Amino acid sequence: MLFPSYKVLFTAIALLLVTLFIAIKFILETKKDLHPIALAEQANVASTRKETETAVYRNFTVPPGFPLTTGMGLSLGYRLRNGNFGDLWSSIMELSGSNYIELNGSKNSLSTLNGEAKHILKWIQHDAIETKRIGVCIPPTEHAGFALAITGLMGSLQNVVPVFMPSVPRSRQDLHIIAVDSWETLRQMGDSCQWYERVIVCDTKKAEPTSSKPTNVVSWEQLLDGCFDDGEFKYAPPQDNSDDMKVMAVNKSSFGSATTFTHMALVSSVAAFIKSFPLHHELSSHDHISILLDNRSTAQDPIQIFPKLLATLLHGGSVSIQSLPVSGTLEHCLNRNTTLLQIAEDSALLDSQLKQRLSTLQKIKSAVASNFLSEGVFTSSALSSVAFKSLRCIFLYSSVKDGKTAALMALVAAKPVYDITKKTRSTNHLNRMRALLGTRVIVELYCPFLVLGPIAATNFFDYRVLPPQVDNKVTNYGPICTSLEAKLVEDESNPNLDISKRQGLLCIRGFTIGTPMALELAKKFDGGEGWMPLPGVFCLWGQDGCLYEYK
Amino acid sequence: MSFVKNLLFGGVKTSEDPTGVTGDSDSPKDGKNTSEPIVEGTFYPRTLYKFNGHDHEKIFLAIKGKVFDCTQGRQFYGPSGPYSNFAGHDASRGLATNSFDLDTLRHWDQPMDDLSDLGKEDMEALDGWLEHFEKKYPCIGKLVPEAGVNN
Repeated sequence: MLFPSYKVLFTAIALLLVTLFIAIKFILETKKDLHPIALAEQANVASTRKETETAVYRNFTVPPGFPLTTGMGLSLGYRLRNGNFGDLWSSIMELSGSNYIELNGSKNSLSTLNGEAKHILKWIQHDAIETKRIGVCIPPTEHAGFALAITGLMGSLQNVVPVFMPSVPRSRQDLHIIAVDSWETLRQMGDSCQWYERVIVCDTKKAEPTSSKPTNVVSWEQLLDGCFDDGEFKYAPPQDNSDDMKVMAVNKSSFGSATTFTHMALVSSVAAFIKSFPLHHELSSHDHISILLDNRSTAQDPIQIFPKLLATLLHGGSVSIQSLPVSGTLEHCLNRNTTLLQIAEDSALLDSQLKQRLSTLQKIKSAVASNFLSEGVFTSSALSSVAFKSLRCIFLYSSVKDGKTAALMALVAAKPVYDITKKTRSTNHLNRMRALLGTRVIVELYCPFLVLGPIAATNFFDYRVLPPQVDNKVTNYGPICTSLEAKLVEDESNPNLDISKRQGLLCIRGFTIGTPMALELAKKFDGGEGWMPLPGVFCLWGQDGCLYEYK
Repeated sequence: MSFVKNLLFGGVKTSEDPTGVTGDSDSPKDGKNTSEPIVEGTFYPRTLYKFNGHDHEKIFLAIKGKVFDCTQGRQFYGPSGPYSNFAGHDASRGLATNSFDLDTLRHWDQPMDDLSDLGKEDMEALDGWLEHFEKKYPCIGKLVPEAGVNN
């Protein structure tokens, strides 16, 4: 009598397995976010190349012959124009309502910040005939730093040039006004505060005021005396589009380099970010971007936060900017409304979050989710905390390996740095992050102080796990961004790389690149075609069209 | 089924190496390698000939010694296009005289056409075409006679 019951049992198990097999097969074949063929061809590659260079690579959405992303495509009569900060901010103010900007945990309405910026701008421009250069030495996570940055960007359309600086300069600079953080900094400046027409002390509560205040010093409270909330910012572009090419800001690095960015770079970077979202995942008024600055390089290049910040505000979303200590976990620091998060790739906050102990059930869920992800199917079933429920995408900020050499444009020092290996997360680890945080993860490659916004970024739907040997040698940064095109060139400083195998020094061309002071170097690789070499940035192109940087 | 196996034994699906750093060949598996970019430089009539849209997917043609990549204009210069005869050849005489005849083209093993017998009007027309190509298509090299073949 036992034999027939076994038969039924085996049949039932067999049926169950077949059903499971078909179900899994069906899910894997139909629920993939992106077809493997699309993942294998993420770039448009030019059909020819020069002998010592690779072909020119572009993002797949920008075919050769089509223009790169150059701006907002606004209409000026029958013509199109790229736009500038004035266009962005006036649209942002028109859309402003319940959205806000949170700076280090303190919420500010857009009308407050707009009112302050307009008030300060009026004060700067009072009786000013010539261009005023205002040095901002305060990070944008501080209220004053952010308001001054907006003031500078507003004023850059008229006769103000904001100069973002990592610290108070020790030598005389071409600055008329400087904003410093506290009375203590003013004391340390000594007589050098006489170099400026005006010195603004922003955080007057941080230290005791100086006993004798120089006449050119003004406190933040004095500066904002009579200021009121203003929800309006009107901007009318000139007929000749001249505002689009004006200098938006000068970005000074801690290495001593200075790069000038035009409004064209800003709007191109904003447009490229907006375009990077795939269909049905676009930016909307429901989005809230949190920018966590817990990495030195990010904190010292404050201008990099603006493209994402302005793009989110432009859609009616809100923004949080926070500078954080390295301790704690992500779920405790994050604003619960956050849908988009920008954070440094090597952030300790991420590590502490991902190293948290998991229950057995959570481990199983994580393993299943990671498996589905590696097959190209996204799932948030293994979400580890309700704090991340709204989160839909994390942007991991990763600077080029040798950012200093690139920022200084110093080819002399551009030899590959063999003794230091760049620490990046493996593709398997990125999938673990996707599984536990229930979100997409995009890894972005930045060249701080030289390029506004990322150079390259992985696809929203790219969950591939690469072989460990690949992860150990290179980091995948996805295709080049839509406002840039790139090629790799042979360089004698690194003879180990083979140009015929698509390995070499990165050169970029496009609209988000600033104008560095050291332009001589560009001529070496340029050929009169506008290419900007990035010394010390050694990469290879994958067969999938993605940019891989050597670790 | 790898998915179930990975699930049971704790692995994940690993993609193929797209970079070639693992030592595996990073060229396409079919061995045809037609997607690799062509190195710009010097072409002979013999080496130019294969880029005619039939023997190679890319379409190159030469005008007044300059070689242009006209792959983007496949509908004109590709097989069954109105100017398909020009693909892989020096098209100078055909464009100058506005003729699509095969007689206007030299075979790869013949001496190169020096265009010395063309009139002023023809040369002006040719310069106009050259300007058009320079604007529209990337110039990828120059066409020179091959020693022992074209002279």
